[in-house]
Amino acid sequence: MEYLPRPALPLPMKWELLVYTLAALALIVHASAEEFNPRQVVKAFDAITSPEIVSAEQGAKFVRDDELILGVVLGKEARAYPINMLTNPTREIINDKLGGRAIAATW
Amino acid sequence: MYARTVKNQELNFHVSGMLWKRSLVMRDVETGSLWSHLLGKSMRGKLKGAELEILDGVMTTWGEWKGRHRETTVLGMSRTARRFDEQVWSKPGRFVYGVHLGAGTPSPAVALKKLQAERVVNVEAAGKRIVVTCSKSGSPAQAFESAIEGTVLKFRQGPENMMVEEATGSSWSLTEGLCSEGKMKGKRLTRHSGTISYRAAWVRFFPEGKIVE
Repeated sequence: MEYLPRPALPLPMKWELLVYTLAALALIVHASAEEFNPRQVVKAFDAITSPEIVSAEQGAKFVRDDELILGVVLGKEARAYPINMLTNPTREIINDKLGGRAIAATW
Repeated sequence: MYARTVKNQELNFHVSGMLWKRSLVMRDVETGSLWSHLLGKSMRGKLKGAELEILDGVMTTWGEWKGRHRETTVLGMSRTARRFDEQVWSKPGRFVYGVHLGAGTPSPAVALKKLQAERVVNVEAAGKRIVVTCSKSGSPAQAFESAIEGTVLKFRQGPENMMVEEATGSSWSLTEGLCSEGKMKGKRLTRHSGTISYRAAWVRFFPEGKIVE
């Protein structure tokens, strides 16, 4: 087969090529958006189990009235999880038990 | 807020250190499966496809909560942040109240700004009638099925923490969904799980769900 040297692309064509490549990449990224493709961004943290739980009276000493909490009622038991204690990767999930059920407090 | 018993097995979750769609990925210690935090669904591993039962968690202030639940207990760990107090509600543009209608159903949401202004928002989405309410300044918010025994109910804001059903003029509690006065006295609306979420996160996870602005 005869060898034909490939002509260098003129400058506008190189730009077009770049545009096409970017468009193709964007399509690939878009198509994979629905796939589960997690990225490791920090190290894993140990599970928090048996967290310390106190009464409302004790809690009132260190939780301000205007702080946000995540509240849940199960059976006859009610519990509040201050959002300021459930923030940052070390603390995002609390494995707990309430009203006889195993729950994960997270938001 | 999730129940962490799946197929009769109690799971313990921890932070995997991974993010998906800029949101937390959890891992269970027992099987090592990975779970999307916002979807409550296992995405990879032995339990792939399994879903966690969503429990009815309420976001409100500590003062409001302990007033309503005298016997409440509270988590007693150290603080990892200080910024989450009532002031958060003063930037309602960043938040929506999203309603969970179950897996596979587009989840509607109400812009927190609208909810704060109107207190009672009737939503028609995914073939369901829902009423989303909040008692004061966006906290706490809750969602109810706004139909009883096949009759669709439409609500508007009433005095104090009440809403009024338009056809019958009956009075209902905003927070409990219980009719206290009128033709439907004693009837109770079925609660839907919902959550206050950052608008940006909600849109990434439920792009097909409608947001009532």
